[in-house]
Amino acid sequence: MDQKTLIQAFRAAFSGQLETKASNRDAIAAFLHDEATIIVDDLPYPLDKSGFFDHHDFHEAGLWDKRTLSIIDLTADVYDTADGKAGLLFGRYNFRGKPADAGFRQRPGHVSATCVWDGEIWRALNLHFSPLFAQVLDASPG
Amino acid sequence: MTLAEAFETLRNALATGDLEGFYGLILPEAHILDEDLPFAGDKAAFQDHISFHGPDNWEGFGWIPRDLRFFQQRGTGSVVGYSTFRGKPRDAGYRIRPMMFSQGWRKADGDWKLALWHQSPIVGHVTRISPA
Repeated sequence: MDQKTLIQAFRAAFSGQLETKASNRDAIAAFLHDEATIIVDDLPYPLDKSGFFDHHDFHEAGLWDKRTLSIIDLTADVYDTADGKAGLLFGRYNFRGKPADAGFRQRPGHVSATCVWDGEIWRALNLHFSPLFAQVLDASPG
Repeated sequence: MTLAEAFETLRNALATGDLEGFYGLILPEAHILDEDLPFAGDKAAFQDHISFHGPDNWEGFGWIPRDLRFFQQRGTGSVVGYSTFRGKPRDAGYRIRPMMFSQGWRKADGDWKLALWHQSPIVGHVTRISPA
């Protein structure tokens, strides 16, 4: 339950080619706590776990020929708490792939997660993906 | 102190200009991504950035969180919600910055401390997802 295991848990869930790995969905389900709140980069509101998978499955329903998540500069901090350990992840990513019948896409952004060690695995209480360009161009729209 | 109370303390400290109280709730090594920067920093970098947004450049501003979701497990706390950063820059019109945010807190020695704060402009979640 150190930084290495925290990064491994995140990468097991989100690294690689997403829509062709049946095990990927299970790894994400294990990583997300049942009460987790998730912000994805292409929706303007937070989701619960079932909402996240509804959105996840939309993207996997034949809409993409290929889709991967490239993760860089992922850092992990682990803190002792009163009742266990807290794990904080922060990094950058690039969603990239090719939608069916359209040109390729790239979605660079930041990702973070607040995780707890439940005694056996790390589980995310929140997960947040956000578009990089918005941090520069959309801070003051009104 | 509960997680919600710790969050309220953080919010009230910022709202009243109690920067000592505000920064006192943040861990030095915290990762903070502000809504108007394309990179994250630690507490010192965040303080430097907030100082830039001080009275020299703003006549006044507020950070208004709404629709909050609190959840905690084993001394790890999550706060997720919407917020609006709003105010008036000097010599310019007002600004409103609607965003979503997530926070990670850890509890030790009875105190909650902020370890992660990620803010992202809402409009970008609609219009900036596939720039290339």
